[in-house]
Amino acid sequence: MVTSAIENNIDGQAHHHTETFISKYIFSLDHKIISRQFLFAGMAWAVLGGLLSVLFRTQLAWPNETFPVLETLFSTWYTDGILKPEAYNAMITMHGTIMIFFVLTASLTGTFANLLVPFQIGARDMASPLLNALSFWIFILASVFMLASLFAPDGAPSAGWTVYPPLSALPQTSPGSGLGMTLWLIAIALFIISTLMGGLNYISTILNMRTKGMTMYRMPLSVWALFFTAIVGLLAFPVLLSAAVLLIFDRGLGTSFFLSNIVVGGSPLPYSGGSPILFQHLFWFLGHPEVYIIILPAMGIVSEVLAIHSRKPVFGYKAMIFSLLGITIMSFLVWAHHMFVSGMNPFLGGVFTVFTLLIAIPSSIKVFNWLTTLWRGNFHINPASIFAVGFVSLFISGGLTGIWLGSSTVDIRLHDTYFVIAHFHLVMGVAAFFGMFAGVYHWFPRMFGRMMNNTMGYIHFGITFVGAYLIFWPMHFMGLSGVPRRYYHFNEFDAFSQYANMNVIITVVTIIVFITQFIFIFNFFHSMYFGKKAPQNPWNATTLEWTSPVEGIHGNWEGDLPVVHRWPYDYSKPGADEDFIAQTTPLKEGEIESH
Amino acid sequence: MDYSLKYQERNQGAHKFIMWLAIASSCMIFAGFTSAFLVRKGAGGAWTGFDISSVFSISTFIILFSSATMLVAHIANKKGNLGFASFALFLTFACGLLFCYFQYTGWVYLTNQGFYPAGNPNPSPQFLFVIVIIHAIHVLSGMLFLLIASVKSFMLLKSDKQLVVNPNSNVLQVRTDLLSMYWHFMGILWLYLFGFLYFFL
Repeated sequence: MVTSAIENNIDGQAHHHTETFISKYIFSLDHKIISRQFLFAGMAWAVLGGLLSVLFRTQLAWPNETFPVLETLFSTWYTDGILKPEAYNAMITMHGTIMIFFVLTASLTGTFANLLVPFQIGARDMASPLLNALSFWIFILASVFMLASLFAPDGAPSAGWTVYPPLSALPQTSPGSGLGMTLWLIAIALFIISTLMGGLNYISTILNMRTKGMTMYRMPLSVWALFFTAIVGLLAFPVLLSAAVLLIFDRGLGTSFFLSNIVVGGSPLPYSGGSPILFQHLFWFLGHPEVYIIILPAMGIVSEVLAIHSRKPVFGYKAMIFSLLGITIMSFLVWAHHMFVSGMNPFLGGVFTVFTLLIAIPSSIKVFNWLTTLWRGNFHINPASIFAVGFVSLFISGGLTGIWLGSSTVDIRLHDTYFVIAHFHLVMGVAAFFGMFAGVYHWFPRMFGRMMNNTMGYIHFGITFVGAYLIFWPMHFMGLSGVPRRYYHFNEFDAFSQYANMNVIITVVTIIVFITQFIFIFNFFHSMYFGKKAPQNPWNATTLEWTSPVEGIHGNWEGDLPVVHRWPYDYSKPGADEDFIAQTTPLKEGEIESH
Repeated sequence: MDYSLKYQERNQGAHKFIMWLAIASSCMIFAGFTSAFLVRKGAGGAWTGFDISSVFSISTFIILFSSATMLVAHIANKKGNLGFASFALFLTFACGLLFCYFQYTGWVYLTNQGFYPAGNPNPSPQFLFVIVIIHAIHVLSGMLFLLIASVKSFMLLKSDKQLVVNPNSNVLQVRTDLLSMYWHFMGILWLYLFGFLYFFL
């Protein structure tokens, strides 16, 4: 890193040299390939994460039934055809960890930041391609550790994705708190290092490597969103690393950062003086910004996709940027709203309530601008555009319940119920997936030079969209009735027996939605090889990535880099010959640049 | 200056910026530790402070001295004085090694006084322990690159001088600007941690 930069003469010209399969597709330094690598890895993780949710949903729907088939397939997690209680806890823990960190953080940002940042700002590659490749391979190393933790002999980690001590700190508290938890912590530490390496690179590339004419206010919103995502990650993830290090010390070296006055099986442990609440503070200082790390890239993708497919400039471009900035700053001021029931001073709870409710303002500005971008647009229906609209719908539905939960008085009642599950799955789980799908359908031609199949895309969208609401809408009512999350079954609770059938419906829909995702996967891989060949600019978009040769060359552009003359949203501009004007087209005489 | 050189220059500027960002994120790690320290101390309960100024004073002096040797190495390298640069880089590496050694002896001295990190009802030594170890890991990773730069500089001296030439200055050199930033940051970071621990422990 330090000494080799001068020798690595990344010059201004595209240059070709012979590459083997391994150097081109495996240990590649090319941002386009690394983007695909992140996408493939994320898809594999998403299938596993989804499968785990099917397993624990099956248990919730039919708690007394036996499933010998599942026992044959997953013998370590089942006894007598029934999912073991500790395995159930492991399933929910790993589902959360995989989806939040490995799919929606690493893969979503990894795929689109790598693809879009150099392309859309007109750079040959990232500022440091080596660091970029290292980021991916450390992510793979983290993935290996995380996968190993799932199959740890004494049990997979089962302390929830939030890994609160003392459950996560003491191996004797549960089977999953042994080797599995240690592997989990190592995996997360590696994961953070990988995310930081990526984030450093994205910020530096955006600030330093823009092509001639690409001022900050000429950058597409997708790049702006990825820029703010990287900043949030850069400031929040190191704090989680600190928390993980302290937890590793507590586990391995007998320190008492988070442990105090604990009695296990009647015998007191030697720990004293620590505070488990301290861990919660450190964890949520990352944990809350983390949801913005997940949703900001999706917001950027959706802003871009909606404008292009509505054939209209995005409404309120600068308002969009400043609301992204507002969300970025405020994301660091709301973490303790996850801790209203931890014995917090009510005054402090009030302060965090106010900040939490304030964050609704920039979020609402964005929603308003998406809707006004669509308003009276010449909306082109295709899988990318309807997934983007689906994102807006889910974000509104999930966001509204965020206002309930942000208020400490309501949250104390609803904390750890299915209401919370419904809220965050809609607003940052499924919504972020919809943003990711919109991005994949939209930029697939740019990534692979072929088009995806629309019919399969529509089926994928229809079932997933309706399914998402069928799964999570009833959970609001369950939560309002007090049904707690993370319970193995509800057989012992008469009060919740009214929801037994609801659990069956939710599980059946979950299985259908899970199977539907294979239509997408089939469409993806089939189109990669047999899809219709993509034209140079299939969506008639204005941004720079569509000016680079379809076949994808090293250095992105032959000869000189493109020069930018206008903002990225010149769609349906009055007086123009076509309904879009590429960013590389110079302004006509007397033409005023839009903003 | 032709276009490709301009692009390369910008690229090198971007590398520098990456280092600034890495420094910022590293600061956040220690902000996490020191804020946890303050929260824990403010929560009350057992807390025995002790004076660390005599225990870690030698290592503090060494890491400050190593910043000076790093500066000398950087200047020598810039002037193309490869031999001297290689020597000064190695000297900085040796200072890093000494620093780690004196951190270790300081720690041994404290444990002999009864300040154990584990199984101790007094939480102050364990915070000190974590901060010293994580800082030392940062120093060790910097030392790895110091060694690489030093060896590379020495090999360059012995090799065919036409091999690697910085196109901007036409001077034969390795790249030490990022290394130098990182190493000075290590010194400043330790100074901050030392001051923090001195006043708050």
